[in-house]
Amino acid sequence: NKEQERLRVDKELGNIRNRFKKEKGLTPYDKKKYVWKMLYIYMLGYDVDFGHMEAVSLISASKYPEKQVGYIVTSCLLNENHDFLRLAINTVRNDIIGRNETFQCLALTLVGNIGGREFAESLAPDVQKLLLSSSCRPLVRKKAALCLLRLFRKNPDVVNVDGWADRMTQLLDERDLGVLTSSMSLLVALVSNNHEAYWTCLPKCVKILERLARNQDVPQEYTYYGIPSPWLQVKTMRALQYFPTIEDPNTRRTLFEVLQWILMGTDVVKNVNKNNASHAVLFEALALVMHLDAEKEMMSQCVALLGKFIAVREPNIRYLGLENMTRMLIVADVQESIKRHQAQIITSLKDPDIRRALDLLYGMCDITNAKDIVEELLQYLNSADFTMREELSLKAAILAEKFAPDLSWYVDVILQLIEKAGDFISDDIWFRVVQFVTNNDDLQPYAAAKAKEYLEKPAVDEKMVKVCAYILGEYSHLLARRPGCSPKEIFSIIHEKLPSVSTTTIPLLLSAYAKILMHTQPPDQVLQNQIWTIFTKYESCIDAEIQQRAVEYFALSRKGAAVMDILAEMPKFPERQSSLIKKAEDAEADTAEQSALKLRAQQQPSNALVVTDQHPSNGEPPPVFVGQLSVVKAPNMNNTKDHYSTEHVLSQENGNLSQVDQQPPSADPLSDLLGPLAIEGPPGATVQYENSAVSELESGPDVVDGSAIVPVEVGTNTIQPIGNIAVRFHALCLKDSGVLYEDPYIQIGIKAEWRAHQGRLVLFLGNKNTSPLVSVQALILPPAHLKMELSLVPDTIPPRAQVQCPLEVVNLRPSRDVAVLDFSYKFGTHMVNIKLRLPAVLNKFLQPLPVSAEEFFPQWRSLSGPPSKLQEVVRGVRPMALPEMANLLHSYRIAISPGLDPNPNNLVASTTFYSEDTRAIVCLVRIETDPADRTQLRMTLASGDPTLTFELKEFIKEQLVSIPTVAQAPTPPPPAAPPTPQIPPNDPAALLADLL
Amino acid sequence: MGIRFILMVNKQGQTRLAQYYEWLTLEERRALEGEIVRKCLARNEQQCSFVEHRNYKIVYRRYASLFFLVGVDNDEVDALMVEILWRRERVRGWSLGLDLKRNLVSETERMMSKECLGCYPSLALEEAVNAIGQPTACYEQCNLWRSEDTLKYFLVLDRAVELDGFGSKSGLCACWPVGLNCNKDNELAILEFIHLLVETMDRHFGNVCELDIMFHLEKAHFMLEEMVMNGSIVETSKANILSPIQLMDKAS
Repeated sequence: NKEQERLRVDKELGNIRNRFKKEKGLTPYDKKKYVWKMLYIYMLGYDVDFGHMEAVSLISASKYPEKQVGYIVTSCLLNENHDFLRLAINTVRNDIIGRNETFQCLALTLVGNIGGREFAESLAPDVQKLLLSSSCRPLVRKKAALCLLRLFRKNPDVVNVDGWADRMTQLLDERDLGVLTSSMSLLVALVSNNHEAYWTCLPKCVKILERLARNQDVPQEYTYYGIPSPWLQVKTMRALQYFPTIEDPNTRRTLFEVLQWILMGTDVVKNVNKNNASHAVLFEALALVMHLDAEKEMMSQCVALLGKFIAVREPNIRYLGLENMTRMLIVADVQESIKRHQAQIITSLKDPDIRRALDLLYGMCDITNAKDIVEELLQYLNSADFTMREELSLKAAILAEKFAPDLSWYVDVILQLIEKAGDFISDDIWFRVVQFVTNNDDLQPYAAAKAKEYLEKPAVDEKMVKVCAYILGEYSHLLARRPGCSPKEIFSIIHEKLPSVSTTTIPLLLSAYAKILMHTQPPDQVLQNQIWTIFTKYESCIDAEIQQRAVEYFALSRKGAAVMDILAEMPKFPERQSSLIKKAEDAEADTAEQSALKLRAQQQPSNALVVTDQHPSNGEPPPVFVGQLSVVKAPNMNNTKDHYSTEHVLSQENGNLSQVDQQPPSADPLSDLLGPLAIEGPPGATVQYENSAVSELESGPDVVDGSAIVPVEVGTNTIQPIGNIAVRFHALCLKDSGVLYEDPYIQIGIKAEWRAHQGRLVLFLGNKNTSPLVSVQALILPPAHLKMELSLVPDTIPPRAQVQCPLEVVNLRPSRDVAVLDFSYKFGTHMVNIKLRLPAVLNKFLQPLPVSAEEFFPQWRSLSGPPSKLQEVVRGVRPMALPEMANLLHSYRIAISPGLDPNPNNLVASTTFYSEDTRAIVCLVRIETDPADRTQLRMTLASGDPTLTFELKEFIKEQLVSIPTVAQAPTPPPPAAPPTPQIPPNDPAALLADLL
Repeated sequence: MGIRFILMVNKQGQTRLAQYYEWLTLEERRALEGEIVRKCLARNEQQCSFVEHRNYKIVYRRYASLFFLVGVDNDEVDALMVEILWRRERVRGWSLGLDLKRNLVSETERMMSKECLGCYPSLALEEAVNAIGQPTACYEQCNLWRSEDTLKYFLVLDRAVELDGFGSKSGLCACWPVGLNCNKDNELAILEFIHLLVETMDRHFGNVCELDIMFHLEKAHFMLEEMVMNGSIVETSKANILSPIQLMDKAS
């Protein structure tokens, strides 16, 4: 056994080690013996590092038997990067250029197996010479050919094959089949690298094929069961497949004659070996025919042959028949003739090697045969091997969706699929069917009826419970008139499943109950009590998601009319690609190892598609979610903006349940609170999905509190600003002068000058009134990266006067943080305090720098990879045309260099950033857009400073992702804030604004 | 590249001969041998002689108690599916569909271990592109690359299609090796090559059995050395294969 083996091996290794140590007394025979023993032990899986030296040293032995052992064992034990090989390189070279043929063979084989760069550098010319030498015997030359092949593959730069076309042509005239076989391998490598150079070899290959296949002109030793070297035939046809076409009509005709000969002349014979060998040639011929795009006739002949193969009993031939038929699908004209074999292919699903048939069916499916194929797959699902079920169901689902003749059929298929293989399908499959049903009104009653039917069965898979409960919750009211479909009955059908489902499904059931209850008009007291009892029961559930829902639904269902809005039917999903496909994309955008985890994390607490994605369950730490926002395009319809706000809400104290009740139930504040949050949501998003709506409602007060950290605050004052502060701020980010703030009493204007990392701002404080403003105070709250000095601000601003306060700014290092001006004054009895963001933002320290290609590319390349070069795929971008985006960048002082990028959909830009720490740094930007989907793009930023790269990337992203005026100010405007419509024309402040 | 390894394993799963034509560490060898032997031994007569395992296609044949297993490249099916999808549906490289995606994930794992190619953002794509030559065919958003080194094909899905001055090497890009038709080995030819090997041994030993190979490991290696070099077939004439061994036998 294993243990004994180990002990024995240890003992033997100890013995060998001792013997090698003593060295002197070792006869050549012993040495050989021990080296072979070592190889044997190595083969058993034990380390024999100590013996490498011994094996290598045998290479320099003078006697053939030792030398041979040395060479063979060395090439088994070492790889090309091993240091010991260097020791042998001289001996190897001497053997190769020496006169001893057998030594030459050994040395060539070693180099051919493990030769690395150093070998290539010192030996390539010698090997080339040997291969072509007429005085060398075939046994040396065939090894030289493969040795050269290795050297060429490993180091194409070292091995010079210029002008080899002629020599290869010459080599192919060789009569010896050993040399020919090796040369053909070499040719394949050369041709695959550069087929144009070797076109002269093409007729030669055809000739060889003709000689072998047709004329059978080979020595007896090279026929195998009567077939002239099948391996050389195969290799030759392989080489021919590297040439795109055959132009010379004569060669082409000859080749087709040979191929025809092979296709027609191959019969099924009794002898297995002969049969295999001839079919090996035949399958290769088929591949070549396909490659050459032969006439339709020949193609159909091939399909017919393959049709024969997939019906034979021999599993190997059947397997290859199916595989080649799959390959045939590429050829457009023969698809119809392949379809004729559909029945046979379907039978092959029962093969133990089912994969091939499945691939083929998947490939050949189209609208005409989808119904048959999918139904076959479904049927087969019952008996399929467990390892195959997942793939099988996935393929069935994709085909059903892609080629569905009508939608109710699609619903049937998916429900059947869930029923039969619930454990094996991913959530996406049922998410998708929910989408379909939601988006197709006609389908809803049908789906609801079906769902009820399935749910009534005993022992239903949990995924089935999920999808059925969801559909019934949404649409069972459409069935209300049918017998057995009263809300009460539906409820009891669903409720029956509750004891058997896991905690991830219960929330879904609760939603369904809430919806059923809401749809029951007039209210049914008994049902209501039943459902309320359930809600009450789960109010203390340990699972946060369930608990939250129970509490919320209970509270909501007592609100009466307001519930109708919140629990209304789900809005239609925007038309988009399949979530299955989307899922593939998402993971692609992600890093490999994280994607699966994240997707799972996203899906776990899921009840409905949309809700989950933008709303992680309470128990989940928000940071996880934050991290993926930028990368993952969560499969929902909302864009990043919504994520941002939701996440913002969630990162506050989440789930403070009591607030639901404190919140006045009137509709007004609700919509006010929801309004700004859903600002970019799709139409009808205000009354979004029940869950998010509730969560936003409940954390509504937090939003208001939350705004305290956002610098824009109107404090306790009753004075309302004129115009939108955020809009003004953003305008000032782009230009250097303008109004920062205005209210009925004061106007604050700004004029700025920027030079490299320094800036000089002037604040213009204008009193609009006929009485003075007193207790004026201005305090700058600079972020860490800015040094700011505000000159003295007078305590009083006289009536209708304007005061200028210079403000010096020095940028220390890159950061996106924003400075805040804390400004207060007193007018009459009003004490006004405002906090205003100052437009000393990152882009002010940029200087546009147009560059040429010569300047750009070396820089771009020298900054390789993170952290200096960062790349990100940005989704949810505000759609804009390319020129518009260019303008936007330009306004942020980033210079576009047109024409640098060959792709017209991409932008390349550059700029210089100045700060005291970093001095001037060049930043390079590349933005790749997708003309088909303007909402996403890929951005690459590069600069010498990692911090800068990151900050600038985030900065640009912020500008692109959403309309800046909203992005920066998630605070809802105060409810009763109608902006003062106009300023009297004679107002000095307005004149001032004009001047600026 | 052709043959990656040749194994002879008995029914108990003990390796009797192992010859690799690519470098694997001891651990990798042990794991690989264990996995494929388990897989092949579990198969029955009605199943075909080809098993897909990771990036290999194993062609195996059983002689009495001894299994001969030959590992060759196995990539073509993925490429094939890509081709089909492309030609028939004009799918963009970006949304290939889940089944391909799944292949991709499993492919990635193996690339990590072997080819050192990256999949997903900026992983090891530098290396990937270094190993990759010029695109041989470009589809809308999907490039088919061929590596100079291993003569394998790579499918590169990337938003940035072209290999321009910016180097598509960075960024969102999935890349996995595929073999087109040309790169796949002819399974039946390999299957018969096994038989040729057995017949050659038979000619030398006379009614060869497991013990012959075990006790004359060196001879088996000599024969293999004459027949295969670096994964390519050198010689198929039994007389030529055996002549050096006979020469030596005579000498000693």
